Amino acid sequence: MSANSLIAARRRDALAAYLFLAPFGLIYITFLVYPLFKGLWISLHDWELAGSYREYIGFLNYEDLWTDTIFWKAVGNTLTFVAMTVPTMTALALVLALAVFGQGRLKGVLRSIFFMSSVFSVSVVTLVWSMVLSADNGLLVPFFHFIGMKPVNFLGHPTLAMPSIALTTLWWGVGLPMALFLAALSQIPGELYEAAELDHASRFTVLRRITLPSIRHTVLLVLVLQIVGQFQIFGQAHLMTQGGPANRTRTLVQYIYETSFRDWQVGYATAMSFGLFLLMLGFTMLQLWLGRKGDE
Amino acid sequence: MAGVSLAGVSKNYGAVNVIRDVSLTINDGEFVVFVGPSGCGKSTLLRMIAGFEGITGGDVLIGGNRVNEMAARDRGVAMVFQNYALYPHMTARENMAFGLKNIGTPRAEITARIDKAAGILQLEPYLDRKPRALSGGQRQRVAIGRAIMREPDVFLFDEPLSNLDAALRVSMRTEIAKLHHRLGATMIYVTHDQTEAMTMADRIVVLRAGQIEQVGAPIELYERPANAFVAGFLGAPRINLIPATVSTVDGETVELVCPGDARLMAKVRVGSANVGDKVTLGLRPEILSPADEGALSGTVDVVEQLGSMQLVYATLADGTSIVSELRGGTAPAIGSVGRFSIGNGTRHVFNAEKLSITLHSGGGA
Repeated sequence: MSANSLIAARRRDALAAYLFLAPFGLIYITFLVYPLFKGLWISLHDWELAGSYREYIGFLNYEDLWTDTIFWKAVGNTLTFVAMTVPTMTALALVLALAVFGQGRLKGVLRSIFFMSSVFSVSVVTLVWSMVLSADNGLLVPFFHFIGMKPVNFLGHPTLAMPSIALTTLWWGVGLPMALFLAALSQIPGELYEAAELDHASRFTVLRRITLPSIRHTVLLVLVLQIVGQFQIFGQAHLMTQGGPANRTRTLVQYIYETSFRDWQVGYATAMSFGLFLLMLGFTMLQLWLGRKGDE
Repeated sequence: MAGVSLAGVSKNYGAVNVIRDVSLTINDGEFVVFVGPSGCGKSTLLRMIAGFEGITGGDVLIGGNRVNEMAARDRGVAMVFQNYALYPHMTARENMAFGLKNIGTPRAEITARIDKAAGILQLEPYLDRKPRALSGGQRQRVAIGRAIMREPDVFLFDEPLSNLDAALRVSMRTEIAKLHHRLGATMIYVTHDQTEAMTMADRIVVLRAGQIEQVGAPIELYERPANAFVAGFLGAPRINLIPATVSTVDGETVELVCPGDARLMAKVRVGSANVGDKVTLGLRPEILSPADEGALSGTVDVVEQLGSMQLVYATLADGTSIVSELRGGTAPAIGSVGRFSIGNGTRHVFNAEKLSITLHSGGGA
């Protein structure tokens, strides 16, 4: 084959490759890349949701953010929520996965039960948990009566409201990370455990030296997914506490939503979204960096 | 060190019997190879000895002690797995030290034992590498090193060389054989490769469908197979099994009529064959060679040049395939009808049940 025909063949191959990539590329650009830059553009404007009022104001929205106490409160609340849910969710999912991994009918049933909560929508989950946690006729009310205490209004309590939302989120979201851990556990060759048995490894040693190192990439994946997911907490807070009491559970996405769709200040809300984006990016990168360090 | 005894051992998975009434005594310091085709139960039997599979019936004894219900870790065995089963996130050194650490062996002793094992297996340059940075052969050596560290009574090998390339298999085969001489430990080795079995074993156990077909020294099994299965399983190229009919019987000498009306004499145990019996004649390729004159004739299909000899494959009149060895000389042309002469060596005869009725020189079955 001559050099020219070789180049022609390569071009044909490349053309075919780009054609195959085109559908994905088109969707990716239309729904991810374009909105990202459009968002950045909007954040530099005083931009109303309805109507046509748009005024370029440079970085003024970002300057306003700096002094917006509710914004910083929401950032703090969101970080608190992330700190409450991400490690707990990961640990709980791992414990559940370890408990229900393997053969047996009971384990199969439990796997389904633990996963089932994930299929409910946020409105169902928050409704159920609002009923459970209600101080008037909640599930725990008889218990408080029994021990002679006044029922606690979890969702109206300044300190307990956020943990209550975190608890709801744990119950709702533990299924998927558990399933990921189950998949990872099933990838560990059985022979490793047999070798460890012959090596007199205790159950704890097996967990620490065989199981956990073998699934560490999945642990990292779950952590990153959880960080990305939990930073965007919205529905639970919006439906259970409406951000109260006294903004104690107002989260970032909720504040963005309210700014944009209640107050119509799309430009300002978009600037906040970029703040959230940078926050999530930072934590995810940190997590990946720590994970990669552990690989070495 | 300890011997291993199996007394009427069986294993069922539900209604399926995978091991049936296996009895066997393995002496202290012996190298025994379990060999058989896929699914014959050889690995299951090994895993039952190791303690990874339950025992449905019978007893397993190690060093004279019944171990049926004993945990694998307490049986004094070490195992080398087919896929090495090295802990992937530990270095070779940590892999080898893991077992001793777990039982609280002093660090100095662990180091001394690692040095010794690494010396035997030439692992020194690789001790601080993780398994993924090792080649297949190095990984298997680390796995063997890990087994040595425990100074077990019994070594169990589950097809340890089957993931290695051909050249490495040959050299590892020698290394394991040397190791056995050096340690003098009892070793049970599972393989489906008859060459490994023939070259390494003190005794071979041939298994089929969960039962022992024959036990004996390699050469004994090769020369005196109890049945056509054992004859066919050991030896490469495979023994030629040719259908024949007994035409005359004169004491221990019988005349057999083979395809193409070839008539051959063979020796069988007195009274074991009658005129008209359908039997199978077993001729090893090394006693069969293409010649101008010969009892058998067949159409030449393929000639394989191996350097030291040529293998000539042919088809007899009834469609039976045969293979013969030609040392020196010119092979017949492919497609031509060649004759094959039978040299000195045992002419195996198997009865209708495929059991050997051959009379071997020196008497006996």
